[in-house]
Amino acid sequence: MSTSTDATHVVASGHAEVATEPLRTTPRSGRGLVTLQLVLSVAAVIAMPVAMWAALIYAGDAVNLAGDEMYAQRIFYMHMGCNFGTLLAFSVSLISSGCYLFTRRLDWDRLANASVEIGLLMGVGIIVTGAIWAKPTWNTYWTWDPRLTTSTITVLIYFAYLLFRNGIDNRQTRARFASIYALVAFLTLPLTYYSARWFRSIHPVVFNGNNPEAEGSFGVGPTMATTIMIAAIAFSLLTCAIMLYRFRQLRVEDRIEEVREELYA
Amino acid sequence: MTYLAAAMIVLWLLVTVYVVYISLRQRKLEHELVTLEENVNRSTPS
Repeated sequence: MSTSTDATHVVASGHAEVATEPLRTTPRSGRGLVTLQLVLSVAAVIAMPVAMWAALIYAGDAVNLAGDEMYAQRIFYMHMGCNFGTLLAFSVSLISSGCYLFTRRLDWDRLANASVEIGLLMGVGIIVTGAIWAKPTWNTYWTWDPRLTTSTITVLIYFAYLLFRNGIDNRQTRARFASIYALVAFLTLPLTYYSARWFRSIHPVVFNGNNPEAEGSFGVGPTMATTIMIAAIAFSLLTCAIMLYRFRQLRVEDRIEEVREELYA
Repeated sequence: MTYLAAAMIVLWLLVTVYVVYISLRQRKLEHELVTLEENVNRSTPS
């Protein structure tokens, strides 16, 4: 928590001329961010157990299912929670990348970086929970279904975002490249969303549509709908809390790097 | 039940590992800051 203040102090006390872009803004916006992060973290810590309770106890059993398949159906709520987290994180990366290209403020690039990281975490969560759920439902952990394939491509494309940006030394070039990449990478999200509608897929369509090819149709009952909503809120809060924490950390990392370069130049 | 438990464990493990990773990174950054501060103080004429 105190790191960002310390970083500013180091710069201010030793090498004031080093202070470039964020020196003036860090202390002012830093306090607000700390408070926001605290609020989000507390909210996430409260919301996540509530989501688990809703998924495991509150939501009614799925009709026409029995045994392993019936229990495994409850994975759906975590699967959907991860979906909301990923969508939120990658949307933030899209918006902040666009903002960086307009303003050239590195804070936007840091936010994009942080959001891609947490989006990837949630994306891996989607794939893993989906694969585990698929075993009792489809009798296989994995199949090259359009929805599964496009989800994997999305995760790999965003993983490449992190690899590519870490390979560029110049800070501004890295930010510019990463921003353009993130704008293009976001196109994989609508592709993933519509893949089960556009192509022959065994993946069920839960919202706004119906997939006649789906293995296991999907009707959402009242307790299920409420549980999905709770999971969406809880996972979104968790995503935001971690994203903000990582954003502040990336800010400090950059400042340390700047000061070190000036010191040892 | 096994699949549900497996999914829960894997998901929480993923989140925990990432949070631990960024916490360790935070500790490393704080250590770097202290080192940097010492270097700045040393290089600044009193």
